[in-house]
Amino acid sequence: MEDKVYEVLRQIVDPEIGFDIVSLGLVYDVKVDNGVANIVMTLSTPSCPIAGVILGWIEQSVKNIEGIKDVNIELTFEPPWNIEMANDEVKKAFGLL
Amino acid sequence: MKVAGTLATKFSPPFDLILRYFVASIVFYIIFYISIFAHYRAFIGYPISFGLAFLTHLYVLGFILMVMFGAMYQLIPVSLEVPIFSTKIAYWQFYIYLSGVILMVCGFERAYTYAIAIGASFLFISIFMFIINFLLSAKNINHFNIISIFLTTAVLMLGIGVFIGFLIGLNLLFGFIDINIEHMIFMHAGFMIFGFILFSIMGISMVLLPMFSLSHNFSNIPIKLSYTFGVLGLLGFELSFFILKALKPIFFSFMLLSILFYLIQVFLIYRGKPKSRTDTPIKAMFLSNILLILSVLMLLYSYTIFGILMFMGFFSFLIYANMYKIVPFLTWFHRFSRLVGKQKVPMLVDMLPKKIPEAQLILNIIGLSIFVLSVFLKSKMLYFIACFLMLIGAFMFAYNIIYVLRFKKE
Repeated sequence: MEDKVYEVLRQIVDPEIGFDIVSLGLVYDVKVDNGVANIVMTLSTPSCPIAGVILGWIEQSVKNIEGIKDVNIELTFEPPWNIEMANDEVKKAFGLL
Repeated sequence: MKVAGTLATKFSPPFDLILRYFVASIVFYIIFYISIFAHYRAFIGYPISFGLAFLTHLYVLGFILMVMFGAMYQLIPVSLEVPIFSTKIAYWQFYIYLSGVILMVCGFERAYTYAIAIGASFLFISIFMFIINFLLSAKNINHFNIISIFLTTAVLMLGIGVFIGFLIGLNLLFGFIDINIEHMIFMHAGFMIFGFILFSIMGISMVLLPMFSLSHNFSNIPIKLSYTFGVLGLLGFELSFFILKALKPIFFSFMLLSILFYLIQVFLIYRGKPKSRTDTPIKAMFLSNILLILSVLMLLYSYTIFGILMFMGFFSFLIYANMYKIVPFLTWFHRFSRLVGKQKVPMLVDMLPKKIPEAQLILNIIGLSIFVLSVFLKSKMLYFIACFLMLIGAFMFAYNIIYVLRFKKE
């Protein structure tokens, strides 16, 4: 079930950076318990101007998965995100590899 | 859905509020570049004149401050994590401020002191509405950081600066206080330019530069030093017009140190960004700082060239860059965010024309260089060439913003 959640989260793209939130390394953990998805994640910056929108997209998308009844999101800035947390495809695009 | 943790941006102000400020600023910006053709003498004569006051106030009040008020209303929730106290005040402020700018610049253009004094009163009222709105919003801040400290200080400096400007405006008409007008103008300019505009830029840069460039893991000690030297320097410099006159060069050096530490901070952020994270606005944001360095160096040679490089250079390039980032975001947020997941939506980078923003920046930097040269050489022909180039640049800038605002998905 966790894989299905990750799959859905890969469709959510940050419109400024141009990559999805999983590839960017913004999703720290996903667990599904009794139909409730618990997502621990961060944002590229605490001042992210579309934070509310991104969380809304996550809720909408994850709730569409069969078997998911509710979504809890824990937003954390510890550890703070940095580009090194992104996957190789993103790092390559930004000239880090 | 339950969300645990802080969420900065559930308090976005109405799109049309920000749009009013931005659209008005672009109109004033074009008016400036049309008016400038008729004011060649303002740049080669004594720097305190009605002609130069007309151009300065048209540019600073009509363009720079108008953009800043719009941007502040957008960025207060983002950078301070609090909602704006009253959007109604923000709408009223816009109309009163707009009336004040029109009255004041017309007054300076016609050397009509009644219009200047009435315009100054309108501006005084409208800017105090902004200050009260900001402070009532800021009282809900849970945790003051360097960004909120910078912005709050900038707004307090704005209060002092605009009060002095108001006194100058009234004194032009009634002559009720015996003041050294040159000192008052320097104090007014110090609080407005260094205290408000520069402090706001320093604070907002700490949000926007890392956000747009994806820079992380940099020290923020330089910006804290910049703040400390900036406050001490500005307050000491202003006081030295009355007392401690001998210390004026020391306080002025503090102000320069503040700018130096800010530039070091920008460099650290720039160094921490991924190599390929450079689009036209990000390049312009970092490059604008070179114009800041040049303008400060020009203080040794000419106040006029310092002003040209500071206003038409540093501030303007920073505004272009930020407008090319903020306006696509606002339009996208307003028009496309609710379509995410239902249909393909554009990325922000797709919403700007591909080549014209870069061409506009290049044209403006060439125009600015020729403009400085024309003042330096006192060449009327070069002056008109520069004005023509920058007027085309102004229209290109307006076109780019209109393009974004009208952007529809194919």
